[in-house]
Amino acid sequence: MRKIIFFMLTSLDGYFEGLDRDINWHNVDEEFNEFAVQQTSEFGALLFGRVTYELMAGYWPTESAKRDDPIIAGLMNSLPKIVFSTTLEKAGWNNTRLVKENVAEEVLKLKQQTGKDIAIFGSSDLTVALTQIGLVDEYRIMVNPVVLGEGKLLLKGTQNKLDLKLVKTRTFKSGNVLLYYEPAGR
Amino acid sequence: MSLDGFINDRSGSVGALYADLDTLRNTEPMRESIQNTGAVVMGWNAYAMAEDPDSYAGNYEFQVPIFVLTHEAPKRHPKETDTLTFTFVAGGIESAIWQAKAAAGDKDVVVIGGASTAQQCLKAGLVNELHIDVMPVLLGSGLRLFEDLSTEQFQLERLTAMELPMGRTHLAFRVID
Repeated sequence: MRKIIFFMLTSLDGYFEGLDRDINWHNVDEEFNEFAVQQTSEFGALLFGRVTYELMAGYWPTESAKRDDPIIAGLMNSLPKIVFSTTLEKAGWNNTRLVKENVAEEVLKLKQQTGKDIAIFGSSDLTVALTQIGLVDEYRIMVNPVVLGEGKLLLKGTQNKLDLKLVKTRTFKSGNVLLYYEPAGR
Repeated sequence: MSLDGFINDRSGSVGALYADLDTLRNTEPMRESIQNTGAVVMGWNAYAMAEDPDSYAGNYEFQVPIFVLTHEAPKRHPKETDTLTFTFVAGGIESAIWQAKAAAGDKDVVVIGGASTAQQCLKAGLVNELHIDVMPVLLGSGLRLFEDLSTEQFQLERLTAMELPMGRTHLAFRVID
C-alpha cells in the first residue's frame, strides 16, 4: 500500500507561515535544494488543499521557477496531482485532478493503487483532516532555526492527541533539523 | 447476543453466550466471514479478553491486520505474524475504520466489538452490515449491545436468518443510513 507523507517547514515555535503568508524565513540553501530534488523524486503523486495548490500552481509553471529550480519545477509540473476543495471551480495546473467530495474514499483508493508514495507538501488543513481518519503514514517536519512569534500553527485543528514515534532525524548545515515521525501504535 | 439483548452478564462474563466456540467456528457464516475478512477493528475490552495478547498470532480466527481502539498503546507490542499485525489507534473510531479499510483492500472490515465500539460505529454511519448471533439465553442484565441506539438514526433490512447448532440463530442485516 502506498504511503502518504506530509512534509512541512516550520519555525521553532511551530508556525509554518508568518503573518500575511510570510515564508521569507525559510532557511534554504544548496543542501536543501539537493534534498528537495531527492525527496520529490520519491513520490508518484502529490495532494493539496486549496490554499497550497493555488500558491504552487501560481509558481511552478512560471519561467522563473523553471530557471531557478529546473529539476523540481519539472517534477512538480509533471507529477500527478490532486487538489481537494469544495470551492475551487477547476484546477488548471498540468496533470491535476480536482476532488470536491468523498475525500476519504478518494485517498483510500489512491493508497491502494500500486505506485510510489504520495506526498502532501505543505497543506496543513488537509493533513489534519487525513490524520483524523488515520490515513497519514509519515510526518516530516523540517524545523528552521527561527522563532516567528505569530502566524499559522502547524496542524492546528487536530481533534485527538496524536502520539508519534521518531523514526530518524537529519541535521542540515543551515541549522535546519528534519524530524521524521510515524504515528505511534503501529 | 442473548435474546434479551445483552452481550455479557452482570459479572462481565460471556460464558453463557459462547457455549461451544469450536462448533461456532465451523459454521457456514463463520467460515465465510473468515474468508472475506481483510481487517478487524476491536475495542480495548474486546482485545483484553484474551489473557495472553501473544495468543492472537497464529490462533485467532482472523489472521489479518487488527486495529485496537485505545488511548494508550500497551508497553509491549503483542506478537505478530506476516498476516496478523496490531495497530493501536488513539485517534478514535473513524481513524480505526479508515485504516482498517485501507489494510483490508477488497475484503471486508469486521468490527468485533465490544458494545461501545459497535455503538460508535453505528452512530457514525460507518457500518454496512450488522451480523448478530442470538443465543437462546436470557441474561436479565449486563452490557446491552444496542444501548442508546434507535432505528430513527438508520434502518435495518434483513439479509439472512439462519439456524445454527446449539440453538444459535444467525441474523444478518443491511444498515441503511
